[in-house]
Amino acid sequence: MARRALGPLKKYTVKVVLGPMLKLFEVVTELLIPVLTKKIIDQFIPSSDMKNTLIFGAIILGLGFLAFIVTMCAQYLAARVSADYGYDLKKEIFHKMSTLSEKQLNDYGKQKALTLVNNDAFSLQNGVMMFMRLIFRPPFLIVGALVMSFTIHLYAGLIFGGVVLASGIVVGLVMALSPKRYAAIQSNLDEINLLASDSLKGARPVRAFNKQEDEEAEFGASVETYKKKSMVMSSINALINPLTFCAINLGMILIVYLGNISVGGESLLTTGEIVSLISYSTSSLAALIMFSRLSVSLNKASASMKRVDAFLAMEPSITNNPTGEASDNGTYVKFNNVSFAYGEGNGKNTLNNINISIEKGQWIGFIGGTGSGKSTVISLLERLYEPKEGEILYRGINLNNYDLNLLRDEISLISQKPSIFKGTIRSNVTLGKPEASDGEIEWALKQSLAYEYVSKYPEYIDHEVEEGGANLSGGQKQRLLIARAILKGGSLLILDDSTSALDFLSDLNVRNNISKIDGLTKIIVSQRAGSLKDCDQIYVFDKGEIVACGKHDELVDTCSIYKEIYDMQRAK
Amino acid sequence: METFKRLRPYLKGSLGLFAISLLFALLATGSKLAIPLLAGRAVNKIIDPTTSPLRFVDFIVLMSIFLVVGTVFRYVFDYVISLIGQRVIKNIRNAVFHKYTSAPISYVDSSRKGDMISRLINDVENVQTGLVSGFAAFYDGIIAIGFTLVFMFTLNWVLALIVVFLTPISIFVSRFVSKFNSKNFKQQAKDSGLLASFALEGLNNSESVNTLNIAARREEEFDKLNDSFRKSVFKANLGASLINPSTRLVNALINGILIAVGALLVIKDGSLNYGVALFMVGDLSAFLTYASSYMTPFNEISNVVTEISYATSSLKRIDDVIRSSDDINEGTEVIDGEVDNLKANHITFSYDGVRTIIKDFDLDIYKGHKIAFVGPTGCGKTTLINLLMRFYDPQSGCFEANSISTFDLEKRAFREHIGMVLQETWIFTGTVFENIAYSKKGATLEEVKLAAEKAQASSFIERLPNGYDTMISDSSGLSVGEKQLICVARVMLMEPEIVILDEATSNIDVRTEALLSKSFDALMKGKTSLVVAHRLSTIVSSDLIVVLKDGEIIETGNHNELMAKGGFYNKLYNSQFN
Repeated sequence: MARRALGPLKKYTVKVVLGPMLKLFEVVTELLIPVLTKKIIDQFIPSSDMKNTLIFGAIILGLGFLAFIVTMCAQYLAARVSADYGYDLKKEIFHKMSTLSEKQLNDYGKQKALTLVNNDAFSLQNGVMMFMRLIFRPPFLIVGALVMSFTIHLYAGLIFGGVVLASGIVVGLVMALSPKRYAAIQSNLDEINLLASDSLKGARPVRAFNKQEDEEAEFGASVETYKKKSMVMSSINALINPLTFCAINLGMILIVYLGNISVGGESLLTTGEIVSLISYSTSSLAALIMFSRLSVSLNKASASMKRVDAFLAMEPSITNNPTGEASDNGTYVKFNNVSFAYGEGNGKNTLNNINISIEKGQWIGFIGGTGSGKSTVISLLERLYEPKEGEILYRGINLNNYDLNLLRDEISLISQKPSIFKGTIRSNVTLGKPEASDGEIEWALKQSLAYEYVSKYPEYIDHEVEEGGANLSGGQKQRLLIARAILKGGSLLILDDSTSALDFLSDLNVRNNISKIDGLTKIIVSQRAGSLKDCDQIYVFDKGEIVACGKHDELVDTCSIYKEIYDMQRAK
Repeated sequence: METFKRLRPYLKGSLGLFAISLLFALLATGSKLAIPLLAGRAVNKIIDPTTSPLRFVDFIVLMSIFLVVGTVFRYVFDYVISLIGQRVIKNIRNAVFHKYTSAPISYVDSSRKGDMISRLINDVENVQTGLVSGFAAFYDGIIAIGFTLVFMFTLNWVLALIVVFLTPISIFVSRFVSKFNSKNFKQQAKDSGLLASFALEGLNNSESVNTLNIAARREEEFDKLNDSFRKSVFKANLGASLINPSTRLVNALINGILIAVGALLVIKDGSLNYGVALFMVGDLSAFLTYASSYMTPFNEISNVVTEISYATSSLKRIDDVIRSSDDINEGTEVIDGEVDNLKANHITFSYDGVRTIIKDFDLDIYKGHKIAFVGPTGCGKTTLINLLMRFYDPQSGCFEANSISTFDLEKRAFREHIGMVLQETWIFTGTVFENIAYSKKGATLEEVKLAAEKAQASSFIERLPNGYDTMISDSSGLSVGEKQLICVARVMLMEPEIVILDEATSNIDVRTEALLSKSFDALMKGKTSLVVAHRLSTIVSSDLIVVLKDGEIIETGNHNELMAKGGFYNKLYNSQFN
């Protein structure tokens, strides 16, 4: 599979290659320093050559500076590329989100989709940075040091190799053991999060049912599990430091010991060699630990890459491919034998054989119980979903061939779910028409009776609205949504049970206001028969089918379900 | 000190361990740092056997002992510190959660949930990393610096002095880098939060984004946030990547100077008289090892200082929660038997002390009556329920049960008389069974099923994939109406003495509601009930209808009386047929 997640990185190929090359230079200088030190100790000091000692000291200093400058260039490249890459990737993910259909997003899981933006993209970007900064350094440093130690002496090389191998095994084992445990701890933390958020949301029921102790006991148990799991992981992780310390220092002791062995009056190692071997092993240990950190980030990044790849590989199921020629001569909206199911496969249909016909300018009512399929019909009409069987004709052409942008501009929907964005009254009302003037906004607010409360705010329409409209009541939110839809305009207005939080009088007034707006075709979805009395046509839904349609007076006589609803609502 | 006082209660039982850990650190770090000195002396011994009275083998044995001691105690130290850290996490989490369940409702209402959770999760972890692990790393670092200095001075005071004079450079560099970084990381965290909440909002409202056709505009806005995030990420990463190279630079600087000066001292050894009897190559080698690891603790300490300051502010946020006042429960009296009468005694209430929500509300509620509250949105119906349950307390007046002010009643004992279903449904993550059984300890499956049947919920529950064992949550795809039915089932199971229904059936279709009302009638038979509803069909049968407007009672009476009166209720009732 193509690595879509890494796609945006192509633009930066040169920089991605250049960065590690610069790091290579740094490694070379770092390996040179012990060589120079050895020379000072073995040659210049015994011969009391002060001049060369100073020159070599100065070279060591100069190399340090040079390495610093070159490294900083590499670090700059890494920071630059990773930030740009992260930006591109997030842009692509967000774009994908807005092209996927509602069904695809729901199937994928919205929480998971959010994780892509705020977590996966970040760990990928971090992975790219760590890769550029560190990928070559540890292996080059370790291999380089190993080679150097073999050139010094075979035994020294073997000791050094053994030490690196032992430390590598320790680090590798801990690394291999960690991810699974880490995931387990993470899922435990999710559980703690969930328990807390459930009981905070249910602050009232918890108190009303006197369940405080039970909640605390459950939470306490989860916290205890977290502690235990974390301790197991800590006790493993705590091995890295002491064991690598042990390996490296054991190596050092062996090297010193080796230095004391003389064959035929000649020492196996010179003092300078011992000193530089010790210095190689110290820097290898640092490299090894760095490598373990790097592999943590790379592990994370590769898990993220899989998720991002899968997400980016999804093809939008609903695409815009306008082909047909619309005409306003015939029926405005027509459903021909439409069936639909949310799930795949053999699941029960949510809608069966739906036939609807709406003429321009009509006032249409949908009525029926919860789950009877009214809102699903609206979603199909908005092309949030597509029918499983049958076809929908909109202005004479199949809805799938109608320009999607045009369709959504023409329909104003007030959905059941109050979707309010963080911002102001103004920013929320003008979502469908950003260029609206203050006068237009005021007009729309008055039509939906939102003006009643908005006019009381000192900041008026610039009053701040919290995320999800947390500072508004249910009725206030609904009125705001109605104002938004009215302001948006278009030719078809749909109210999907969107006055349920209004009292009957306000409901009536809003409907009266809407009826005065010219040229609108209207669909009202309601559970209140009274709200639909004046409709040109009422469709009665039951269990995913339309069981009757007609005007109010006809339905009262002919449709038992309708009559039942109507009678119950005028209860004596 | 302030910080320690705040942390102390959570360290209970771990203080002794904390003190001993200091000893472990001394042993671990001391042993670790003694090895290079011994190695250096051993090298001297190789060059010139007269340098030490000890045998070469003794050096090897000593080094091996220190190796074992250092390894073991390093592990013990690391282990003990994480143990203390995990204990602290657990203690704080339990304490904060306890606070959350015992805090007054007004505290929960006025706090952002995300923030409360982040105190429980992130702040607690900050305290662990900063104040436990961080503090440990801090004194471990100090110990390392101390030992290194001691050994360096033992080896050669001239070179040691050079290192000491160069120290300020190290400190300056690492302080500078970490200060620069913490600012950048804060900015990055902030930008990242903005970006995530923007994306979340879009996802939660994806239907509206589509139907309003504003996807392109949302992408532009996202792009702006994304771009500023890119800038802060770049700065933060560049800053962070300064740390290692600049440490190495300072090390190289110190190293270069030391080699030059050290070599000079070795060469001129004997001819210089500065109080060091012998300075040989082995000593220089040991010295270089110390010098190269000398910077590490400084870096660690400066990292830790930032972490400690984060942790201190996190601990303060936790402490704010712990110090917030508990829900007052001054009442001591308990109602013996049943509540025979309820009375609202001239209640006046305001949430913010500015806008009065309930004005001089006075009402007698008789046992077994069904009382309905009617009125436009915002008239104070739900507030009355809040006051009766004592989620909030009125500024003047009170509810009375059996002529005892609810202020004098033990809060929790009083609540046991009441069962309620609120407008806002509450479904916690768990099975359907657990959700319904919540209201009655030890309820059996049969009881739960019966309650669900009464609540008209059994038919949809049985259609769920695992019936009563199906896992559900607030966002698991149940419709609002279905969630309301589950909440109703809870009360059906509880069979409380007093029933409160606050818009409990607003999203349930009329036919189901009609069936449900029969079960309600059975449940409420002979019981006192308080009902808030927009749907007038549900309240026409009430014994008393209280019409509220702007927090005041404007009409009372039963349905027929109010209809005959031709007032506000009459108008409201007739509006549903026009």
